[in-house]
Amino acid sequence: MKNMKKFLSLCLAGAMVLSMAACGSSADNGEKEGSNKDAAGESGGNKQKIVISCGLADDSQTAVRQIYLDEPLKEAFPDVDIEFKMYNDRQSLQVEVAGGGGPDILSLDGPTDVAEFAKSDRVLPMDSYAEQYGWKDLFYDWAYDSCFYDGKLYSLPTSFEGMVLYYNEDVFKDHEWEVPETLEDLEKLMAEIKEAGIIPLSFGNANYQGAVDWLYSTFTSCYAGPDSIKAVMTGEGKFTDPAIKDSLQMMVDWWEKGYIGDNSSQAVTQEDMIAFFAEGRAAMMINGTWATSQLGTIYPDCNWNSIIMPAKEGEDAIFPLATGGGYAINANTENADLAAEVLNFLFTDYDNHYASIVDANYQPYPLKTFDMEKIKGVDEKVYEQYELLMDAQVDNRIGFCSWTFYPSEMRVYMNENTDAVFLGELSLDEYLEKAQTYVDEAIADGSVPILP
Amino acid sequence: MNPNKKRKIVPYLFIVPAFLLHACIVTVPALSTLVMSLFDWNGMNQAAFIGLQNFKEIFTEDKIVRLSVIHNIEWLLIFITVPLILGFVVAILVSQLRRSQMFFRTVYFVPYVISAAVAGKIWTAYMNPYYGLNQVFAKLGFENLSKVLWLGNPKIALAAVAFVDNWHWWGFIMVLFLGALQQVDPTLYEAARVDGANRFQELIHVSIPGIRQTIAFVLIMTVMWSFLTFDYVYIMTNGGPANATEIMATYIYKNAFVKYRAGYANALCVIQSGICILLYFFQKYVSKKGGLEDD
Repeated sequence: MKNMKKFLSLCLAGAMVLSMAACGSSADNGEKEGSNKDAAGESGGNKQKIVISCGLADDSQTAVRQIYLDEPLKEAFPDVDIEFKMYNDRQSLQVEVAGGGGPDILSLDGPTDVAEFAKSDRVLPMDSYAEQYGWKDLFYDWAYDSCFYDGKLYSLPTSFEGMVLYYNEDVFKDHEWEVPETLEDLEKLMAEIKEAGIIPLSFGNANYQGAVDWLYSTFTSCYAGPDSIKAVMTGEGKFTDPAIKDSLQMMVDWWEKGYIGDNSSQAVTQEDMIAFFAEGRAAMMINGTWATSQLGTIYPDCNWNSIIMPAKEGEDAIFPLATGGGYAINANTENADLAAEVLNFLFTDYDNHYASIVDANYQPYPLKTFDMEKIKGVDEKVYEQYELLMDAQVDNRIGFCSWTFYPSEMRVYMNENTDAVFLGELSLDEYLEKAQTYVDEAIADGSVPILP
Repeated sequence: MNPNKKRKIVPYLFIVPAFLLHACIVTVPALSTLVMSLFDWNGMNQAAFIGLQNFKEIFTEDKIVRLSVIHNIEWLLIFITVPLILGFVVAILVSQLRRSQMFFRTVYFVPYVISAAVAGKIWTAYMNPYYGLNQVFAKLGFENLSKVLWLGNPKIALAAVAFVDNWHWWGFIMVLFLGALQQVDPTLYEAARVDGANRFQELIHVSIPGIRQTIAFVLIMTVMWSFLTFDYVYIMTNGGPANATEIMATYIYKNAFVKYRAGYANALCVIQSGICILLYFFQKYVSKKGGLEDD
């Protein structure tokens, strides 16, 4: 009996080891199957499958996406199973791709983000597809060129955005303030607004430090000028040059005077920033064109309007531009040709694209063929904003937002340290010198973005 | 095989499955962290061996690492005192209750079961200078308090976040102490009383020695968790303002997933683990010397 017990114990222990080993191997297989399913594009039957990554969306956003993206894709590719896969955070996607799987089409945060995937050969160069589908002629040059890394095209720009100065019309009306036309007007107005106990420019980055890039991108573009930035990125100038230093000194001065964020921007969240503007606690805010969507859906009663940041007397106002994201093809996919075809469809399905802008406030693709007439039904103020964007491009008055046009490491450094400059814990000179070292590195290793 | 040998081998066979499992999911990844710390790797590309370059950068160039370690030590000092003292005192008080003990135990424990994401967001709103607690202070006439930027002032932001983490944490410590106090043999208290001990003497000579192993456990966990903490800082301040709340874990996360420096992040993990191990042995040594643990 005793021996029998021992024998049974040993059998059980052995079985446990084997079952664990089996679990391990089945998990491996499962993973492989999963990644094959994603990458190779086979889903159950004979249909090929394309998976496109997207950010987290609520039910209403998903419903909108189904109307303007899922359904048209289904119609255009009846023999392909196309699925949008939501990712809670960027690192999940990164880890999945690094592990040899991931969706076929990756929706990434923009050229600086794509560059990291390109460096690692995790996304495919798309030059041959660009030639096949004529993508060079499809997009605005500035947006298309920003998608190159090391001389090769790695992504296509998914949105088209810029930094503007929003103002609350009700607050302006109540205090009989005029919309500023020049920088001098703006500075005078901000002093008045502050005097009236209202925050001149709403700003908060408590839950996302990186929001400071909206500010420094705007100040360097609008008050140092695009040529100064371009000179830095080509190595002809330095980030420590007086023009850039003066523009950022102005930003710091405004923060210290309480014009930007009332000296408490580090304690205010992004959501509060919009709320303060919409509710009239702040009179203006420097924000991206994307904010129209939040204002429209969360604060429909807010009477807002927007202008390009006023320029110095006698100078042209500059519109800092950026591409908001980029579609790239996963190097792990086994359906690269099909993925490229799907991408081409997304960017050339004009009717649905225009409809998504008008009906659902989607951001427009930076397409050369973009027809303003087709979005006449959009909110009047949003329409005016797009007109400003188009005019700035036609007149070549475009500035450079960091998330599209600055080297990745330089941007990370500036995002992490701008608050330290505001709070007097880091000198502006030290900040600029350090930022310049990242430009030097990017120029040396060829990863510096191409500026139009 | 002779019965003696068998008797020695069989227990090991039972341990083998758990050992293998541990080796696969803990030991190997842990060792891989050590290996990857010697590589230049962005988390996706082919890693390039660079020897001790990452460590050289950590020790000679990276000012944020030093700052993060200091913040972790400050965090540790807060957590090794405030919640422990508070938890212990309240546990003693609650242990005296009979009927309402469960009620108080539940009330104090509730913050612990609220997720860090939810509690962090709620407290961020409370600490908002425009509509949070500051408005209450202003209405109560505390002018200076109403102007404090709890999360925006680099000098106090870390303490503000630590306060919130403490709010969530001390109830758990209290329940641990309470459970331990209830295990102390009641006859020891009777004997102490017979010998003429007062309440304070009972506490010093019966209660504390009776729960010394729990105290040692809580101390050791506090030391290590203080260096591994992440959630509240990440949710409430994201390491800001101006790196004033940057701690090792948030800095590792940023290096791995924002700066695409996974190799460097691995090196930071090695440093973090090294500090934890050192603190663990130091704490063990102090606990033994202080009589909290048996030899």
